[in-house]
Amino acid sequence: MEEVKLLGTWGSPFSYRVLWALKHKGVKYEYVEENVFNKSELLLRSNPVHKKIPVLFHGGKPIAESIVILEYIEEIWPENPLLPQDPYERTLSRFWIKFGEDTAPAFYKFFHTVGEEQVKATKEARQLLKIIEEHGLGEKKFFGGDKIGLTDIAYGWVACWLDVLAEAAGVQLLESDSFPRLQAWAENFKEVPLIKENLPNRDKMLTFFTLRREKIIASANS
Amino acid sequence: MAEEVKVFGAWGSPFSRRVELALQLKGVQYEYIEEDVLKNKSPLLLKYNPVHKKIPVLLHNGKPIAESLVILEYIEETWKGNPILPEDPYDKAMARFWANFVDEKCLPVLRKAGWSQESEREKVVEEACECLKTLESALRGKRFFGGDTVGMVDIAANFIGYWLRVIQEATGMEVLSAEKFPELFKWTDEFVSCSIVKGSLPPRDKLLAFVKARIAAGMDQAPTNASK
Repeated sequence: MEEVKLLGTWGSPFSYRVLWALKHKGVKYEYVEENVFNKSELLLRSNPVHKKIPVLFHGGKPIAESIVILEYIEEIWPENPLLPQDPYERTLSRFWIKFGEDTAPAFYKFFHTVGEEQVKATKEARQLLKIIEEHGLGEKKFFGGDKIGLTDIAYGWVACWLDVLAEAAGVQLLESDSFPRLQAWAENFKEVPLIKENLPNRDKMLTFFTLRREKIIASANS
Repeated sequence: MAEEVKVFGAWGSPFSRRVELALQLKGVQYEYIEEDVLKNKSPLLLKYNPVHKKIPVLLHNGKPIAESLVILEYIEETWKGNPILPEDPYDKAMARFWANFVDEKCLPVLRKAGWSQESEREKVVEEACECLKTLESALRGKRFFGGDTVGMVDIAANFIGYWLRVIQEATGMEVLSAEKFPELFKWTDEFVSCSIVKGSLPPRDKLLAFVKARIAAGMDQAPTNASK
């Protein structure tokens, strides 16, 4: 059995995606916490292109980019599949995963901006949430159907990080009256034992993001 | 059982040509529908891609798929001949990594460089060169990114393989040259001289004229509302 190692950080949704997938499939792995403010030799050597976590090592070979890692995990450990068997349904999953990745910068913008720019960014984030809710999730309980799949894992940050970021940034995003289905999905997602037992501490996250937000505001006003 | 395969595309779009190239590599018969993406998108396109309203869209037995890289994955899984992804899972992951790198890092910065104003050109070109240098490292002496045959990364990098040099000619901007990136430049020659690729590309004169016309009309933005 080849050794599996995950290089990640405690508060990163990207790191957690990989962790959730590994645990879902019962894969034994070693977790290594990376300090992204003082990147290790290992990280820089194993992901020279992006210099980012997460990086998965399998038998010593590194793979970077969380979505690429997820596809790899799905292929190497096909038990408890996270993607549908049907090629068309798989493609729809991939479409929505890509949508989340492509729109992520627009999503996070509300956190990185102030004043008028933040108002505009928040509005855009809400529009994206609407598209995800209407076209991506639809009437389903999870993106994966009755059970969570890769798309749910990829959107885990919407369920578990977005509200903390919004609170730290002083905005409202995923309220239940505006996005009832997506809100219900978030609640259901967080109740899945795999997820519930594997989440960063919310208070710790709020402290961290509040501090980050203060720095952003400070540099915007300087 | 007759299989219905349709591609909604635009003649000059590298994104829709990616899809056509993959289908042609696998010998899949398809019907091509040209969309007027700049002025008049068809009701069918808007119906099949309500989220992005862009080409390309692949329609397979009535079911639509959008986003060119997502379409390529579907094509690979549906038509097994002449694979465009490696069989080994690790190599496959590397191919996906590089295809994403092209899409998410290279193309946006190349687009900026291609349509940049003189004042900001130097900085933007430098950024673009950094990207190309990184991408070149993925070639590692191979004929194609896919090895001996064209693969997903080659297809994803089609803009660099063909469109970029046309844009460079039209704008006078130079990012990709044989001197700066000998291996990558050589790859572009291999890419366009591959017979199936050659047949899948828009005519050079027409593309050059189109780019020149946009510059002459004072367009400072590449058509971004059209394709992915």
